[in-house]
Amino acid sequence: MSQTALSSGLGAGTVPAAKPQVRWGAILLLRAWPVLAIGLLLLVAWYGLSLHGNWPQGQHAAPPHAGFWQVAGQAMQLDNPWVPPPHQVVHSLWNGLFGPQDAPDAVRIHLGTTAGEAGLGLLCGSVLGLLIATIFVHVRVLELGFLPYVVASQTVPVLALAPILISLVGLGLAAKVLVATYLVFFAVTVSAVKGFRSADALAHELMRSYAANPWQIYWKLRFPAALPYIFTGLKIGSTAALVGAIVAELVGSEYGLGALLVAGTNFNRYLLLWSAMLAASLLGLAAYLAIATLERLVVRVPRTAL
Amino acid sequence: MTAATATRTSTIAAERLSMQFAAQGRAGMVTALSDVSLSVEAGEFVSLLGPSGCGKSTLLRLIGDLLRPTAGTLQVKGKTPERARRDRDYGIVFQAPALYEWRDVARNVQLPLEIFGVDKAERQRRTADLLALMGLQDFHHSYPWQLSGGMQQRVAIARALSFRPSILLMDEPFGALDEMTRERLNMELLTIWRQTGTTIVFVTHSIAEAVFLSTRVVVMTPRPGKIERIIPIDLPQPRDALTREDPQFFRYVTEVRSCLREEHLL
Repeated sequence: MSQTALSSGLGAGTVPAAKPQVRWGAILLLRAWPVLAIGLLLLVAWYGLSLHGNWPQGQHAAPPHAGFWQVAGQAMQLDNPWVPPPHQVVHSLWNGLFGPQDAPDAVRIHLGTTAGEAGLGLLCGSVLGLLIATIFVHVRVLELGFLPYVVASQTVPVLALAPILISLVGLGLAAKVLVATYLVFFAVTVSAVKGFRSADALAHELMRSYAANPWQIYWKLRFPAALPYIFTGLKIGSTAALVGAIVAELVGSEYGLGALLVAGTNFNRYLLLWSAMLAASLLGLAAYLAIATLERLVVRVPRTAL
Repeated sequence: MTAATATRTSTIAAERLSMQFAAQGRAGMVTALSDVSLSVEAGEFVSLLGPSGCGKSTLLRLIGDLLRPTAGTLQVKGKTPERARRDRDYGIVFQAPALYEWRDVARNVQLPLEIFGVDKAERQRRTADLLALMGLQDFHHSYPWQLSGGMQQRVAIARALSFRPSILLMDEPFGALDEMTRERLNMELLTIWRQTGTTIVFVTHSIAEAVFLSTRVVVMTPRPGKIERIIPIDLPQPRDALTREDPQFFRYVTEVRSCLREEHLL
């Protein structure tokens, strides 16, 4: 098969026909229980840390006659816990998403801002990456000339780039989208170039025997052959876009999850800090799943071939 | 007979073809084909037979304009091979099916038709006919990886036939298949050849396959690749499973064998 290990592990397409009967019970038993068990362990550890972190000390120390469960119960319901327990973070996030409309620090507003920036960055970065990859596979001399600079561009730390871009284009949307684009285009370019070259010699000789023009070779051979690779790039790009947008917000912004993180840090609002972080990771997960779903709909290649 | 009349009558006319490649891993050139002359008439079934390295695939690729000769002239239907390729005179079948794995069976067969701009209704009509001819009528919407090797190769043949090329170039198309599947596909190929009148050039390293299928067997020898002898096979047409049991069939197989043995290839 022409596909290689690049896409393995990141999930491939579905098997559209000859689908075996799915036995969810067996899958749950064999595949899901270790994941659930580890998840449960992590949750217990989080509660343990939270309990340790929020345990009253010094002048706030619990009176000696207070029972363990009483003190623990209070430590789990502080207004501004230093290490918020899971249920408080989830509750805070829930309030931020579905609570009062007018709160300026409602996570909903900032989540929307960041999602918009990251989404635009993903779109721009993908288009740019596909364009660059397309040019590279067709004009060898441009690839030879530009590739070192494309690679070098990624050695600039994104934290250093963000302030410079903000100084150039201001605090608005553009800077965030630019930083996200900068991180996305590289992932997409690299995987798309590999994908556009993935079709084997025989597949190209067939096209030659049909006297196909470059346009037809691109759309009927190179592009469909590259799709599994491109989706791998998009999956990496989707999380990279989020990183880019949030980093740019951290450097300077009134809105966005990055701005919330800054506010949470500056004003010691730990619940806000943690719920912003949870919102960011849920956003990343949603973007990844959206792309994986799109891939399942578009790419018709068996798992075993990848 | 002048060159002009020769090109008018011969579908493929190769004169003193040579092909040299840069050798892998060492200096100098490897001569894959040396001074090969061959003419193939319209409607013939010619097999190129010989051991690995005898240049039979190279000769096929030269005819199909997938390679350019380093010396000699080659005319196909009175044209350059490139002109013939651009006129879509060739249907090519390789040893590997080379199906596009993101296309189902029907859309693989339609690939060349899409490229040639054949309208959708006609594409579907021809696909249905060809898949029926190949016994694949129930597999229109299967994907290549759901089919056996023999079925995949039948799809590849249907794809090559879909645009009704006047010349079919086949490079060990059944080489990767088991004996039974190979013999069945041999019969199907002969049926198609009779029905379509296509000129077929067929590369193989199976003596029995070459004798069974061909009107002429071109025996080739390696280092450098050249034509040793051309043996006409006058077995009666149409050939069927009984042809393989015909004493005449064995005589031809023996003749080809002894030709190869004289060259110390057996």
